[in-house]
Amino acid sequence: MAAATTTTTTSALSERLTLQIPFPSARLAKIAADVLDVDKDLKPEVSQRLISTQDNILTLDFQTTTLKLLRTVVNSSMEMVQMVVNTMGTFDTEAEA
Amino acid sequence: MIALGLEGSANKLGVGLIRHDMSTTPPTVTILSNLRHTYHPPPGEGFLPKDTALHHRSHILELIKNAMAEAKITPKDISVICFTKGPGMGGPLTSVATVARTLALMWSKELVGVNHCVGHIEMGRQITGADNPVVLYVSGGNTQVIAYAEKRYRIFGEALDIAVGNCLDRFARVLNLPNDPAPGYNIEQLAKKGTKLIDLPYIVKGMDVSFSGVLTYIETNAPALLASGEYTKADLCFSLQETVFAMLVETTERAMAHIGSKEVLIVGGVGCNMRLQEMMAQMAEQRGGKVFATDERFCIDNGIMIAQAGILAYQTGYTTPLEKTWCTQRFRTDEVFVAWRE
Repeated sequence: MAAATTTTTTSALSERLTLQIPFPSARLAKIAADVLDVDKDLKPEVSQRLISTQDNILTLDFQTTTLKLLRTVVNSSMEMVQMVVNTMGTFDTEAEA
Repeated sequence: MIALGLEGSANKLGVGLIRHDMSTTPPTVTILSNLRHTYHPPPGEGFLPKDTALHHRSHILELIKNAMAEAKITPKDISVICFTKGPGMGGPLTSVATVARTLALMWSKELVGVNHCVGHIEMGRQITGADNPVVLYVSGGNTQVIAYAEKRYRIFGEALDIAVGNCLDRFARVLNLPNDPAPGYNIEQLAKKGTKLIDLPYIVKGMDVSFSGVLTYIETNAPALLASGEYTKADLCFSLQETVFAMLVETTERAMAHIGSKEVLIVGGVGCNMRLQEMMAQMAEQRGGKVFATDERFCIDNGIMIAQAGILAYQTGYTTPLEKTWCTQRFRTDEVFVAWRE
């Protein structure tokens, strides 16, 4: 018997927001994506975040059931994005062997 | 090898750099830098997760820069980046872990996620040289009696509800004591002027202790006790300390008796308290034993303890893959496989 999985129809996650954040290089965008993606969605049935990169652009796709949740998850994600960006700005060394 | 340690599970943000010179046996351990920045809420308040996380994010980069400057090292000198995986407060932990991950990927370094409690234990062992003590780990977030056996730090007894430091910190709010440098420190100073011992609930259950009862009692009765003119704030602080510390001494002694140990190592922020050290020493001496404790550089949450516990694990070949560097509010001390000890 197949394991039961919870599927959420796209209409349930009706609130959406997409952020595209440019980075100085594709390498840094990828690092940011990898760092952020470690922290998984706490409640995927009500809030999902998809992370992807295209060259030097980091894309965050948010889908939630309510507007309030959308604000919360976008705000907390932005706090972490800011932390990553500031860390890169303070410390990046491109020439790491 | 050199390890960078990042700690931020509560309101103390710590960054430390430690060197293990592997050319000697055992390796020579040198503390290269150990910096801390503490978030102090106003008197009467406790520290909340959102504000604490914001504090850490605001200060961590500067702290890391200063720590590396003081240690006179550059990124290429660092062998491994260690950070607190848990236990602790979620937002603050993740804020610090995010920086650890970013640095690790930028500088191509391995990561080691460290258990906060094990960090305290390993730094205590390193600083004091205690061989195989019963460990009393007491802080605002944790209260455990621990002993090492067969590759694990086993929890012999613990607080069933709130940590002893949490009990003290919350009582400090009732008295409106300042949170700078720490509420527990201010209770300790005030307690020195206390003379009258109030009969407070004393709750020990076998190897475990419970503090919510004594906290509720003293929170509820403090206004009346003070208003009566019979007791001062100092008397209340004195009575609370004597009661909760006696509970800790009792359960620690019980563990010592079970194991046949003569050494007690006190770690964690509450371990700075001189009265607790004094009471524990009296008990230990009666058993022909002794107490080991560290000063505020190491017993209060710090980054160097994370570097130390992390580098010990790293030396056994342990690393935390990136996808496992998430943080967790609950992380039992005995979940860690202590590969670096016999």
